[in-house]
Amino acid sequence: MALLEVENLKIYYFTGKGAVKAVDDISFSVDKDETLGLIGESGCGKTTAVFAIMRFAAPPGRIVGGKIIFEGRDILTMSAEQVRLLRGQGIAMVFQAAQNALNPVMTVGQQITEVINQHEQVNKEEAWARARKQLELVGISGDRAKSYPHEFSGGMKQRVGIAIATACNPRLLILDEPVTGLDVIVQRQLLNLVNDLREKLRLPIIFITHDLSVIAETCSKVAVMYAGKIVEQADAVSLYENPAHPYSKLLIEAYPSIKGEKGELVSIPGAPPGLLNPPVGCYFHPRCPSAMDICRKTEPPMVKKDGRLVACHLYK
Amino acid sequence: MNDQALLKVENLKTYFRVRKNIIRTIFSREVEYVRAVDDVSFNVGEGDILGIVGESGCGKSTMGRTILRLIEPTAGKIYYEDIDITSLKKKEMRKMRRKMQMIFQDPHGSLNPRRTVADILRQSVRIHRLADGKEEENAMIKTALEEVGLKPAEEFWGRYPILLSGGQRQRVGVGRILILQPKLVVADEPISMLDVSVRMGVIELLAHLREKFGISLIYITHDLATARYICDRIAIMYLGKIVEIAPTEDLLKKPFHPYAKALIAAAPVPDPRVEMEELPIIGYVPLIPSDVYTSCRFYPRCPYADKECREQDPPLVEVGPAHYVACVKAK
Amino acid sequence: MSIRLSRLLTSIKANLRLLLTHRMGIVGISVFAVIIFLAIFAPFLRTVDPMRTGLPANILVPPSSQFWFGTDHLARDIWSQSLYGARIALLVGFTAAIVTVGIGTLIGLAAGYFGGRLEEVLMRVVDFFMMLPYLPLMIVFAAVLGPSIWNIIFVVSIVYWPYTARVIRSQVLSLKERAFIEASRSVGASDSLLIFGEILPNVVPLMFAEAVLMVTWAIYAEAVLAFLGLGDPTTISWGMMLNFAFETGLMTMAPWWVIPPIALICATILAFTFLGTAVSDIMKPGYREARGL
Repeated sequence: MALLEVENLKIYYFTGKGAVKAVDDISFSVDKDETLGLIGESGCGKTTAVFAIMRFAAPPGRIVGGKIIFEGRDILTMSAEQVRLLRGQGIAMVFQAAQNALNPVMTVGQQITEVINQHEQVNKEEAWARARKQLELVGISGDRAKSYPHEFSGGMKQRVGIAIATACNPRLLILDEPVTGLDVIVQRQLLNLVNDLREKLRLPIIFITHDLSVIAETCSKVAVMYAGKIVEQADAVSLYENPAHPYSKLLIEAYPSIKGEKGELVSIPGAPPGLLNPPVGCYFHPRCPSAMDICRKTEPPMVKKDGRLVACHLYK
Repeated sequence: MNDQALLKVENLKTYFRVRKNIIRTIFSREVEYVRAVDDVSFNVGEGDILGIVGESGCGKSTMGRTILRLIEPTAGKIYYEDIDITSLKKKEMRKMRRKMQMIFQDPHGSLNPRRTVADILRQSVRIHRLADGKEEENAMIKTALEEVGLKPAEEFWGRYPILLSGGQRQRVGVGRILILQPKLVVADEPISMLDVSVRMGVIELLAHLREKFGISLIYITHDLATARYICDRIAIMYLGKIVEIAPTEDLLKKPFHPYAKALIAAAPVPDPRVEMEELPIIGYVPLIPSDVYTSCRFYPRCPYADKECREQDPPLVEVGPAHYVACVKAK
Repeated sequence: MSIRLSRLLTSIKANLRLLLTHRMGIVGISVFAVIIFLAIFAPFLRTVDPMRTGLPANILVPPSSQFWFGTDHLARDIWSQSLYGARIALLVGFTAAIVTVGIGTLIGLAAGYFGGRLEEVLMRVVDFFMMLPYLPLMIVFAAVLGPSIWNIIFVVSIVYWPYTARVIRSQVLSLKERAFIEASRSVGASDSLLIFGEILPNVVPLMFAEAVLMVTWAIYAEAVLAFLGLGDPTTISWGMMLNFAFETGLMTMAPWWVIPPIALICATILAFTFLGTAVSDIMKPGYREARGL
């Protein structure tokens, strides 16, 4: 059985004008030795979905259906206390722009020990020693445990975020857009770090991003999200070699490359649909170059094709 | 370098005073500066697209704003059509502004949330008195909206920015300056805050501006890959200086400066089958850049550095046709 | 022009509707509506001329069918006095609020936008005024200027404008850094266009919230000054009513004289405070989403 299994998850926001289907019936799984990349553009629901795994739900958003099974237990039916114990120790998350999630008036060492003390009974010296080790783990000198967040650059603050998240040896790590907004060299260094950590700690990771290259460098499995639904799920190589869903194809083609032939400029016309009144049928059909009649009428079911899952009428 | 150039930047310097705590202010006699732009020179011809590529802290945004005098230069000269704009008074500079415009990075913040799309464009028209009466105004706004891809114009006319997507907001930002018919546009990271699928659309729009209107563009970015698609030439900046400048494909195929090589090696590739190269660079961009450089400023991070590099801050030297590098090892 | 007006009306209607979703907003608006109703229709709701002294037999009559709230020491009808008192309260409140917020905004805009020496000078003036204890200051001014309702309004504005100036200045400082200001500047907008065309519209919600707050302060100040005897004896305000009750030493004997003005002062101030809180809450971005609107 997989480490994490998300089944038919639905998260809706209830507004005065109706229900916004932020996450609409998605399913995926993560095994112990996998790295899953969740890719999609802003507003596609990937962060909302992952917040649900940690049971963070901001009202008026509500989880209206589905199961999130972690190590055999459904997170959605756990008590608040059980969930609190799970966070940090079972599943840990590094937030988008972790640099902003650091408390400016605490040293980074203190922020790491705070997490440790929440979950384990250790004395001060031991906690501090572990904090230093965590920093070394992410490539920062242990002596800097006494420094404050503002003394670090953006990339290093992100590393601190990872150090905090891995402090209690979680069994699953979630990274929400960890390199967005960082410079290209810093980004590469950070991704190298993530890959190293994954091997060293044997840690399964869920990677959320809108950037295909990040997925390509780190993930073994990819799920492509669009307008609250998963449109394709495949292993990374297959997805790139042979993208099935038109959206995946366009996404790959829209990515400028510095190597090789210059090629054509491609962008996807239009914008993702508002989720209050999504289009009838397949949500992608207004922007899809292969749209057929049936796409305007019925939602495509998820089918298996060549060892991957895809939701598109082109495949039956 | 071309003497017919539209824009000539000579030895441009923009320094900011460093604010220290009160004790040091009283007791220390030296003034410390952050040398955001440290002696930069280049030209931009008519209809040229020059890319300025570098990571955060290299001074590229500051330089873009200094060229338009949104930030005042500390030293150096900027010639637009052979007029020294550094010596112009406020009123005269405002008239110049029509021809030299900027596209901003943040699609959300750069539009006044309380103005409609049409009103935002209308402001440009009114400030420079480009139209006689409301009808002509509206006609100009309509043309501009359609030119930037916001078709049909009526659909976007009365909308507030909050109802627009990021890409659409950037297009409004372009429309706002296009309506002034500028000849030089500085685009400061115009797509870095947009979704990947819409980025190339905006790049296409910028390329179209050059094709159709002959607008010269200075494209500031940290992303070499998108710069590749639109720029004729690329200049790489590090800690306030241009360390390499060359025609685009020349730079990508034969980079000389170690930093350029590192940027190219670090460029992300969306293909899981491709092995990422080793990064030929050490460490991080210094958080507080040094005050004065007596050595090559890339020295602490350069894997090829040696004694020679510590002795001087190398100037740009020619290594190929229109290809210049600031590295003692270049030859 | 008419487009602007219709847009303004639609946004006012929308804001009113939002206000009614807020608990404090509902209370505030209801009480406010009652008070304004009483003030406007005072001439129709009164039973007698409030200033007219009555028959000695009717001195200090407790509430009855003839005198709904009873009478005071000069046989004047307290109910009618209360009605006209509402007029004074609202007059002082609104006028002082407009003047205070007007001055405060201009100073706040100038200091915040231009910075440098101008800001230093203006802020020192603000600091100076804020340093002076407001109650003694008001008392001194009122005593010197003489008893008149307009002097009261003047005094209140003089004392309170610095608070508004400070608040507006901070918002201007943060707005000044926003990208759209830089964008307008780079398009060629002049300073005055930036201040009045770009920054001011974004400051209006705050001005509104401040104005509501100022109303409460003004009403309170007028009541205090009148109670202390510095008010305008030719007008009937709630504070004056209390002043008479106190000066004649008849407060304890005639609770019906004292309770209406106190209750009305409290109710009005409370209503505006609730309104102010509700207004600033609905102005916060994300209010509608949090309520599921």
